[in-house]
Formats: sequence, structure tokens, C-alpha cells
Amino acid sequence: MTDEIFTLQGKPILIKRLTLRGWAELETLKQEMDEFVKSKEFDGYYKKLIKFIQVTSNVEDVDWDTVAWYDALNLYSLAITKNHPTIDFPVLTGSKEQSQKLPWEYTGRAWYFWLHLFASNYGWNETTIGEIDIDTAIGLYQEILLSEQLEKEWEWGLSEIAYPYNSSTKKQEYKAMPRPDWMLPMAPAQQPTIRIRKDMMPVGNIVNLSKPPKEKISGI
Amino acid sequence: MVSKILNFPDAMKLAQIITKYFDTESIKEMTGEEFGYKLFDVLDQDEILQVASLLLGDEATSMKPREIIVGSVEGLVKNNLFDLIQAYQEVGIK
Repeated sequence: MTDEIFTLQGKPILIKRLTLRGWAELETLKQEMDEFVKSKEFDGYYKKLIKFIQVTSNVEDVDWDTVAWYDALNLYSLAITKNHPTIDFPVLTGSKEQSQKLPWEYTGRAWYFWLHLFASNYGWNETTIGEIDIDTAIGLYQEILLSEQLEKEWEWGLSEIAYPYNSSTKKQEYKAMPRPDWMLPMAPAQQPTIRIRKDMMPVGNIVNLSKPPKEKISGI
Repeated sequence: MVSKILNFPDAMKLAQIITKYFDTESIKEMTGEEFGYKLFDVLDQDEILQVASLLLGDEATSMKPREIIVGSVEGLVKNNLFDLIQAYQEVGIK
């Protein structure tokens, strides 16, 4: 992906696509901006927005107090678009449940999450992990989750939990392990045509009442 | 007095005042002048002073009412008010 150029106060600003290390910092900035939105602090939100632009570009010596609001937002929007995954990964589709802040979450955790994920699964070092592209990171993350889910399903199938007792049928019936939303089957775009067997169709003469009855030929 | 193009924090403060009374649906068919008169009809005195000082600077307090209205309307047009309200709603600070 080529770098984008934006002109601000007569100076060319180059927006870059960051690797995983930089992208983790952007995710932290986005979380901080969300916090400022909740507490309605315009100034704090704007400082983080400027920081977001500075991290993704070569911008220097700009008096941000004199930058027009639409220029600042356009630059921010460009930086977001540039550093967004280019592939529509199923794992990124939103969950129906609203995520609550977990006790172990903190500002800046994103980088350590990715570092731990790839170091423990592939044995890579910090430098290698920091240089991965965003699409590669998310694609590998999805594959890791998929492998973990399928392994858990295999272990689930071997345990008693998978066969709960049904008191109405008096039998143990298999209950599949729940899957996350992004792994559930998608509804087909077009419903399949269902053919009915001829011997299951209604029997007897079919009278078409929408047309008038044919006149009998005289003499017969 | 020349109205100014606002930076981001000031633009959001302006949008916060205006969106109390208007949204993009209600203003999309209006001209700048129509909107200006409707706006100053609904704002209270403090809000008028806030809008005027954002768009015209500190000198707005010594201006005549008609100058304030005309200067502010010019400032709202300069700052692409429709896009500003949309941006404010998308940012989500309410």
C-alpha cells in the first residue's frame, strides 16, 4: 500500500501504514479517545487525535491551534483508513454482547497482547513481531483462535459434558460445544429450491376453477 | 470584523451549542440567512455570546447585535456548518 500525501498549511504530510508495533500504539490512542468522548473532554480528545496523526505521519512544526477543524479531521480519517485491515476478517465482526472492561485491561495492553500471542504460538522475538503487517497479524490471530476452538471441541466430545441427560427422552444426547459468533454458519443468500416427490403430491383429479369448464361435444 | 475558521476544539464547542436546537435534517433545506435568523431566535443570551466569541473573537462583546448576527452567519458558512454537525455527531461527544 502506497503512502498518502496531504497538504496542511502548505506543507506536504505523508501518512504511513504502520507495522504491528505502531498499530498497537494507535489502538491504545483510540481507547484513550473513547474515554475522552465518554467524559466529553474536547481538548483531551483533540490532543490524542493530534498524537494519532503524528504517530502515522512525518508532521512536524505545525501549530495545531490554527489548523482548521476539517483539515484535522480529514488527516485523522486518512490515518485511520491507511492503518485499517484491508481484508474482511470474520473474527473482526462485532459480537452481539457488549464488551465490558475486564479487570486485567489497562492502557497500553494491546502491544503486550500481540507480543505474547505470537511469541507463545510461534516462538518469534519482539523485533520480528513488531514488524508484522496488520493484515498478517489479524489473519494469524484468527487461525490461532480457530485451532484452539477445534482442539477444545475435540476434547469436549471426549468428555461427559458433551452428552447431557435428557429426562424426556431418557437418553443422553450429544450437545455441541458453543462457538463464537464469527464461527457460526452464515445464512445462504438465496434459499434453495425444495423439490417435492411426486408420490407425496395430493392424489386425484385436479380441477382448475380459474378457467370456465369445456363444453361437451353433442351426441356423446 | 472578519469571522474565523475554527480549530477542532472550538468547532466542537460550537456544534455542541447548535445541536441543542438543530440537527442535519432540520437545516439541510435552509439558506445561511434563514438559519442565522432561526438560530438567534432560539439561543439564549449566554449562548449568543458564546457563539459570537467563538466565531468572531473577543471583540464580539463590543459589536452591535446586527453585526454579531451577520458576522456569525458568515462564520457558520465559512466553517461548513452542515459538515460540522455531521462530524460532531460522528465523533459522539454529546
